[in-house]
Amino acid sequence: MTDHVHHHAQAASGPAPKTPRYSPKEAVDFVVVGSGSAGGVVARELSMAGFKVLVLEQGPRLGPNDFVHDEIKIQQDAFLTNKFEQQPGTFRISADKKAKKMMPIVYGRAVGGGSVHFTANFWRLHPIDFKERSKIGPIAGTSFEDWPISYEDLEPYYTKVEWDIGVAGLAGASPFDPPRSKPYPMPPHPIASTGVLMEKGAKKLGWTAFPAPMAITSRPYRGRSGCAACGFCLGFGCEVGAKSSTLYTAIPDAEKTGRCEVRPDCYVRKVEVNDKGLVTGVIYFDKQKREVFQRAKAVVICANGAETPRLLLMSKSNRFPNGLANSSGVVGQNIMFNGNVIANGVFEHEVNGYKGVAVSRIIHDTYELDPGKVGFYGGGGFDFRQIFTPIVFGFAGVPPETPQWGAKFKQALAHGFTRTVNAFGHTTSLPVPTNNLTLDDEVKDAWGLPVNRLTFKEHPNDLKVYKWFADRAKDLLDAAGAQTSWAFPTPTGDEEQTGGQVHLLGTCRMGNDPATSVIDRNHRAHDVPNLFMVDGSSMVTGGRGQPTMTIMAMAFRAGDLIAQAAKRGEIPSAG
Amino acid sequence: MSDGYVSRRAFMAAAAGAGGAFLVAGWPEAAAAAERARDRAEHAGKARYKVLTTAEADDIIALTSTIMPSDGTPGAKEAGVVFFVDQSLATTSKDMRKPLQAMLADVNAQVAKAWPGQSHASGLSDQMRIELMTWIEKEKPQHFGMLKGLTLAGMFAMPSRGGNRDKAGWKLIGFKDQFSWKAPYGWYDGEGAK
Ligand SMILES: Cc1cc2nc3c(=O)[nH]c(=O)nc-3n(C[C@H](O)[C@H](O)[C@H](O)COP(=O)(O)OP(=O)(O)OC[C@H]3O[C@@H](n4cnc5c(N)ncnc54)[C@H](O)[C@@H]3O)c2cc1C
Ligand code: SF4
Repeated sequence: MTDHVHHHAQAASGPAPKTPRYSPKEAVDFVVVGSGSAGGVVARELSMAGFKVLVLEQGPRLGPNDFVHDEIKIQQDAFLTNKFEQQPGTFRISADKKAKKMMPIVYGRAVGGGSVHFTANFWRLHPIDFKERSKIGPIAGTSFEDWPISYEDLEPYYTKVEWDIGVAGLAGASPFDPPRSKPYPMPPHPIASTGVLMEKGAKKLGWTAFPAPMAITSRPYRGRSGCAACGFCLGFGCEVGAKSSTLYTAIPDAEKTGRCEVRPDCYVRKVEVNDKGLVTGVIYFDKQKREVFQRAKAVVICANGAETPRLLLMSKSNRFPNGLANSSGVVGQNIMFNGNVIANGVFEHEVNGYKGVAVSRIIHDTYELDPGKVGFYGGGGFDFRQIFTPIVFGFAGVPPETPQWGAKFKQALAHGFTRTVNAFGHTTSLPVPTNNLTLDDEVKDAWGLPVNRLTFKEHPNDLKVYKWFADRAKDLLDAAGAQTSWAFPTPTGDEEQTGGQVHLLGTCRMGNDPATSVIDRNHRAHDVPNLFMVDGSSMVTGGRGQPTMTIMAMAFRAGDLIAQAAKRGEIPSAG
Repeated sequence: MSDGYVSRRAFMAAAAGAGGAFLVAGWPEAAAAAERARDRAEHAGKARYKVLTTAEADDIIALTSTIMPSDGTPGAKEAGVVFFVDQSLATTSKDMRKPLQAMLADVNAQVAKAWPGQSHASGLSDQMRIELMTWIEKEKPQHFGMLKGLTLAGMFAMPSRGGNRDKAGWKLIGFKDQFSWKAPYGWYDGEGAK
């Protein structure tokens, strides 16, 4: 028998109800896998719409007391992120090579996911991002496509993110700002020295530096305090609750409904289906590594662009021998990371980029470059910041010709730490079908599950994009008056190593054609009517970096549409 | 980051907060408590080091202070990098003891080879140590990476980790550990903007 996810919305009012504890035997309306940027928002929307929601998160639930300024604990011991010893990955440059064990992918592994420790640069996509393939035409060796939805479809939800999650910025400050229905709810953060320098550089190059939209409170907002400008932001958790992670926003909102349980330390290893092809629930490992089967009427996977495809591929069954929701074979394909290039400059006076939020000014004049002029397809934006905490500065901060030890090295550290600016270029990167995640059966994680194997080679077009942006980043620093400047080398396209990629996009892309996409325009799996995927994996193109604003906007939209479909009885369940 | 140099990948790994970024695997959760215990032990006249032998400690001081010399401002020696190393080895980086000893043995073998009659880095003059470090950097990049990683972490990690004594490392680079700041943050948004 097939019944339907049906529920009556209840008004949320009066004293905060108790957080429910659902029994594994009870089929909750929705299991949400992953509590990150997307998962937190989906849980909020579905529980506020009246549904019983259980969020399963593999990471721990942390709070302000855990978010210390300790580089060793947070960065080196990967306290907030996935760990090599527990969940490594493997990497190879092409399918004919043997993959080597390393850490190709890094993401937040705690309640709140990547929104806990991220930098909080929060750009909307522009209308062009959704329909660029139509404008540019096909590019050989890629699966470049238009999105099945438009900027206009997402606009109300971008606005919802800005107001319900909390974004500071200045509407209209950018000549390139996409149309918006409302201004930002909070003014931008104060301009830092990095921002002043960026304005100077931009002016010389004929560009406009404008206040950066940041998912950080610039004043007390909805019960949260304003940012203390502590500076340990990029890569760290916020101990005053000012960073607008889902941990501090969507998840407490969801819990306030009394219908949402967030269950940390639960690692989902399989989504189960019945012989009719409907999802019946999920199997997870609890903290003691015991297996639990949790029943659910429907499942929403929000495990990010790396873990969502892996979970689908691990959820093989007789009915779905290539992995769940993978009749197209597209699950795991087309992984995009965005280009991310860096130039560095040392200035005469103190910049002290280690204080305050990471970024106060950005440039978007280069969002859409003219291929006829530059000789490649692509675009992006810039920001100025100081990314180095003290230990990392010692490794990577001094100019390249500086000796690596001794008196001169020490001098360069002493001079440079307060005076160095990193100019970032954030760019497009093309979807390529052979750039993918597959299961590596030869390497197991600490639970005995196959790890993610990344096969990845930069598209030749993108190598040009990265070079162009690295050169311009250096130009900007020079124009701002840097006394010394240098760019980090950009990818060559034949590296056998990869560092931890953090923007994980495109691996369960949305589309109208079930033969070439995994989910439909409403985030429902083409192959399984009570299964949804919402996160970085849904994106068809990668935008110009800073994907999380779009991930949250998609999550608001998906939550809305899934709730509506459930109320109309359009989500069959196994019963 | 296994070489200590600026490579793009290494930088990205460090920047992303990836595990292994600083070479030395695994640090204590209870660092502050360990520090208090060490101070008590020192006061009670007990052994200066919890794990390291005096000979090992002396070599580590000699090598790390060649990377960060004491030249007018405090270097690795004054910042107590060796105590950072000792504390790490005593707590959750126990598994680093063997690799560290192997590194020291290798380095000291070179000492004996290059300066007959000498057997420890700690016995060398400043000039000899500079020659030695030049050799290590060129011929033994992995050892160099380990030594540099220990030096940087011991200089700049939180003082509760055992090093960075009296915040010597932070003072050197002009970093102040404050939980809150108000603009202006630097010269360009302060005086320079006037
Ligand atoms: C250092 C750093 C800086 C960043 N800065 C920015 C920035 O400035 N701007 C920007 O836009 N983006 C930034 N990002 C990227 C941002 O973090 C991600 O884009 C975003 O969080 C992705 O959202 P998501 O919902 O797709 O996945 P995530 O936020 O990764 O959430 C997925 C969650 O699912 C959990 N999970 C995964 N698998 C399972 C499983 N099998 N069972 C149970 N739970 C599971 C994970 O533990 C995680 O909590 C940054 C990332 C890093 C690492
Ligand atoms: S800079 Fe502001 S938002 Fe970032 S961690 Fe510090 S207080 Fe929180």
